[in-house]
Amino acid sequence: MKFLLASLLASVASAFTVTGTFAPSPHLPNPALLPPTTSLTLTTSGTTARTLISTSNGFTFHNISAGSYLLDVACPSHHFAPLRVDVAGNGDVSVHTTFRGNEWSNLGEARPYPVMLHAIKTADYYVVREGFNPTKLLANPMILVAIVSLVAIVGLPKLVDKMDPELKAEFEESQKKVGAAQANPLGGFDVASFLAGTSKPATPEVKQSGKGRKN
Amino acid sequence: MRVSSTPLASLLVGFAAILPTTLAVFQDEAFQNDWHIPLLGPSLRESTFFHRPLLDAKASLIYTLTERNIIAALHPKDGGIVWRHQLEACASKKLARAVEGVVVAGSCGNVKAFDAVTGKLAWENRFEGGNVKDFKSAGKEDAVVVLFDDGSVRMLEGGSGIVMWEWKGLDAKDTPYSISVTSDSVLVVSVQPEKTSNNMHITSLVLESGLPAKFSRDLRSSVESVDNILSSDALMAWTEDDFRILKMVPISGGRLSGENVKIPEGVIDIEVHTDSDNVALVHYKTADKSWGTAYRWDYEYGPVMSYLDIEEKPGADSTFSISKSGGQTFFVWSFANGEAFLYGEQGQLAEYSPKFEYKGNHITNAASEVITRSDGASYAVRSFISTSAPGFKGNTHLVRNGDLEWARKESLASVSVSTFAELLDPAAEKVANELNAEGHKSIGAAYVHRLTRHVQELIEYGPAWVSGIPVRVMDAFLNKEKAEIGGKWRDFFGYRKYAIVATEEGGLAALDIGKKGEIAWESNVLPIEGEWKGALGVYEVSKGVVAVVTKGGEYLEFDAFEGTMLHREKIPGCGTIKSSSTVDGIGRKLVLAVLKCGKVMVLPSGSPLPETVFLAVQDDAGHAKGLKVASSGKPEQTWVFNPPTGEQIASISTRPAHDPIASIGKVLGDRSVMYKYINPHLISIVTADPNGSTASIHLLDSVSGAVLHSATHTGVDTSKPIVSTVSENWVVYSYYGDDTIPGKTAAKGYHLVVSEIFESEQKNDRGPLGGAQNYSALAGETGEPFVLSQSFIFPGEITSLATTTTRQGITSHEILALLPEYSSILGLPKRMLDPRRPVGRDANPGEVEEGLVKYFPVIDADPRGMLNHKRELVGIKKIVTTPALLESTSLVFAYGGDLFGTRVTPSMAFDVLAKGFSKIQLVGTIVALGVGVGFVAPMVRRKQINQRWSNS
Repeated sequence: MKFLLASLLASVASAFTVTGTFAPSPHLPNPALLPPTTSLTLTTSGTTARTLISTSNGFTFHNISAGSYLLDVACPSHHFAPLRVDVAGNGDVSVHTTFRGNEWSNLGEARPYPVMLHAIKTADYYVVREGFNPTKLLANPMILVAIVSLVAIVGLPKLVDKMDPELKAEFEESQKKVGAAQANPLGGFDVASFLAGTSKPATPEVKQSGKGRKN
Repeated sequence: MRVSSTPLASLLVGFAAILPTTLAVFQDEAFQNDWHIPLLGPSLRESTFFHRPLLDAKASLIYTLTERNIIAALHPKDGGIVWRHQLEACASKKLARAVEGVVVAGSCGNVKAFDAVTGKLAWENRFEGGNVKDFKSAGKEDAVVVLFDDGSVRMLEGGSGIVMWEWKGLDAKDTPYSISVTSDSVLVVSVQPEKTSNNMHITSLVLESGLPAKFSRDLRSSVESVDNILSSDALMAWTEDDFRILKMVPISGGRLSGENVKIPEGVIDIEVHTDSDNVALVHYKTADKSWGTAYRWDYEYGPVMSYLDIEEKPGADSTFSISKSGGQTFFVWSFANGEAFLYGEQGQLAEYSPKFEYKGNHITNAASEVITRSDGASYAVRSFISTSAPGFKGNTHLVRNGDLEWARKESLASVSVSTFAELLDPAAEKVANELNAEGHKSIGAAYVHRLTRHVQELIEYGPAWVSGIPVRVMDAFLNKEKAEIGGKWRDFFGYRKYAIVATEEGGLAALDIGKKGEIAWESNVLPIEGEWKGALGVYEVSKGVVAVVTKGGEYLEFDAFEGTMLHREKIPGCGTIKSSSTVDGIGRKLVLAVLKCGKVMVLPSGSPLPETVFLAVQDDAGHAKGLKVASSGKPEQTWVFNPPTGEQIASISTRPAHDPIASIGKVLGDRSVMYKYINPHLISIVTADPNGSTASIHLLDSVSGAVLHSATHTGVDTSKPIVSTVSENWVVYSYYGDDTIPGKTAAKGYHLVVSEIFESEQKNDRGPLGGAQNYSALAGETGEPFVLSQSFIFPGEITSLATTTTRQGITSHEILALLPEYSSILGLPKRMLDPRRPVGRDANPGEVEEGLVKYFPVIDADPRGMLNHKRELVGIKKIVTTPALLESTSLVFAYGGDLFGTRVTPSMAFDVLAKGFSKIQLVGTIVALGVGVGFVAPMVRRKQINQRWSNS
């Protein structure tokens, strides 16, 4: 019965049109770039009206009867948010923001008519496979820490060796103090003994004196 | 909840995108693993033409409107699609014409103009009441005058499509035929049936206003029968007096007397080709030869005059096409043997000897473009030719100066049923053949045979094979592609299979889905006598054998690899075949055909059924019925399912033929188990109320007819598709829901619902059946299983659902949804559609372990999940899947319009190295580590020694 009434209404007062445009947005500065297959649908129970984007970057639905519609845009290159479009019995069109799953009785924020459509996202089709990338590997914080510590282990003693003897003595003195104050776990790390499998690393004192003399 | 702002909406969309989309198309695999054959369908003669998209354009494009309602622009150079659009489907006439800068298409009550270059919609308008019958350019800008089949005429403004004037004065008894536009008037041709003959009227309207012209030329001429009208364009032409007289009346002319031409003896067919102006060509065909006569008439008053006789040539299988260029009218006469002739005003201008053949095809129609070369004496001719072969209609070819440039397999746009044929394993077949040979010999001969075989193997795997190892290793290392094995031998991973497809016209073809849809063979299943009604099903019945059941009542078997017919029989019994399915027989599969009268036939006839079979069929009264077919083949009704009051059965779906279940339970995060309700006879029946707004889904046991679960949805739009797919212990379906029930708030949009069936609500409980080894569905009530459901909102219409299948069923499933609005197939991981996703709270650690994420009501059509990625799929109706040899991989094939194939790995490609896997990098890393160890080893040794010394 209801459907009969609806179809009757449709045949009597169905000359309404719903129009709108694709507006520029940060994701889509030039709507003319949208592909010609960009399609729009107005749906409600019993009706599905479809149209395509036009050469003037707009759209027009012809022959729409009064009712409350969901406007969806299917576009291969961009995403658009759905809108609620209400066509009143006298042909007045009101547009509201909506979101999927919204209770239909909840009206969203009112929007101007003719409808303005803004792209909210560009469509990404592909996932790029994570390949081996040396620069990315070097950017890894763990690798950076390892490199810095390696430089410290290898480079520092040589730097100390090249220092003025007095300054060197002073530095070693301060180092001992610092070392005694707080044992830096990284500073005391010995790559060689670690690789050799020695369970407890040599003490900082032993290591420093050993290195200083024998190398 | 009142939420209302764009940022929030975008946030929600963004959130949906975070949801796990394990499935995605990798950039390096796109266009490699998948293939796509974009198709248009058979071109319509009147709506296919060469046209320069812009007035000053150098090259023209081919524009065509097809029987499958697709309007497209093709590049004449390579046959590539410049643009195409799917129009609304209608039984009424459809037409496309070029109008200054745009191509206008009329179908149903819609008139649409597309930009000729870009294919963007320039303008459109829709009308109710009448469908488009004919339209012409109004001569200024791109305005058109449209005639509708309810007799109304409307002039639409170019650029907007707005109605400038409307005329509805046609006599209600008149059937409108065509419309013509002259410089100041619009002429409407209509035919009114009278007692003995039909009266043709030409009504004249003023072009400016649409009002009947002052001196309305309401002229009359009698047409014997409207079925004999050959042309109704610029020239009305029809035959009279039992095909003895051809009458021609130019519409623009002031007289309706026209020309009467005597049709020569022996002529069996006449084609009348007109260009839009004042030239027509009548093509006479006898059984073995044909000829033509060209006519011309003065635009205003003149009589129809013949001006060129094209002398007869052997071969009636030919067609003419007219081309106008530089003020000249050319006729191109194309023959099925590849021959072509070019005629100008005076006579023959050029001749192209046959260089190729449209194998087994008849020429149906052609469109040509003739350009006079700068020397003025030679011509460049391009013809776009449609052919048809038995079962294959509408293949198109481009012939340039007598050479075939390219061809398109448009006939495959109408594939209606398909099956997969497994290819043979070369190694297994070889051994099987040898053993078979030995088995048929005496003991002595068999011994010698085996001995020689072993010696041969020794030679085969001898020094030459060993010395070839380094080369093979290097090839494998460098990812060098081995020469592909072709034909009936499958590849190593089982990616290659044949899809055996049947077209609506009765063609049967094998497509190699592992080789980008290459056609392996073509045949047809047309009946020897009688009318072709369509194919009902194609089945693989045994290794290398496929069977076809036709609606007309024939059963055919074909060699799946060669396409040769092995067996053909008429299904005895009564009337047409309603449905068919396969059952396991002894060593092969048998086909069961349910006849209209209710009889069930086992095919091939005479084969015994090894055991009782249970079938679910839909009867004419709108009920679902259970049939028990005993081994004798006699059916017995076991149950009847009556849909709820007011509702009708919309669809019945069963579990896929190959649907293995690797695990009988679902292990939860706390190590307890929910046991799946596994029933090979699970079917789902969707019922809908066509006049109301309710739809229900029912899960049944097809043996006992017991309803296991039923759910009714209110506020459903039953005019939009309701589709479902069943697999394992779940069903997924989609419908359009609306907020139409008073007092109930609901969301408007497409809904996607998943229901999963378990043996019991309790964990670690197997329900009333416990661990019983066997149980019979007919033994009585066993209690209802426990059903968990969840509903999601989906952004677009789904016209078909399918699920992936893998060899062992260990890999998780993926739901494939066909989205016509997005021109895509979307793959949704089943994990996303899990009814156990926690609602309103975050997943606890146990649920996270299970892979469950918080329920979110919206599932987005994420482009990354689209199997076709950037390819645009048009017209597809069905998706089918089949397992590859690799457990991780399922092969997907989609047909019904375009053809599309790909392979998907729902749980990632866990059993095969990815394409991006670099063997060089692996070896490089090992070598670097080796060098590093070699470098560090002496250091470590020294350190150890020093340590020992210093410590002691």
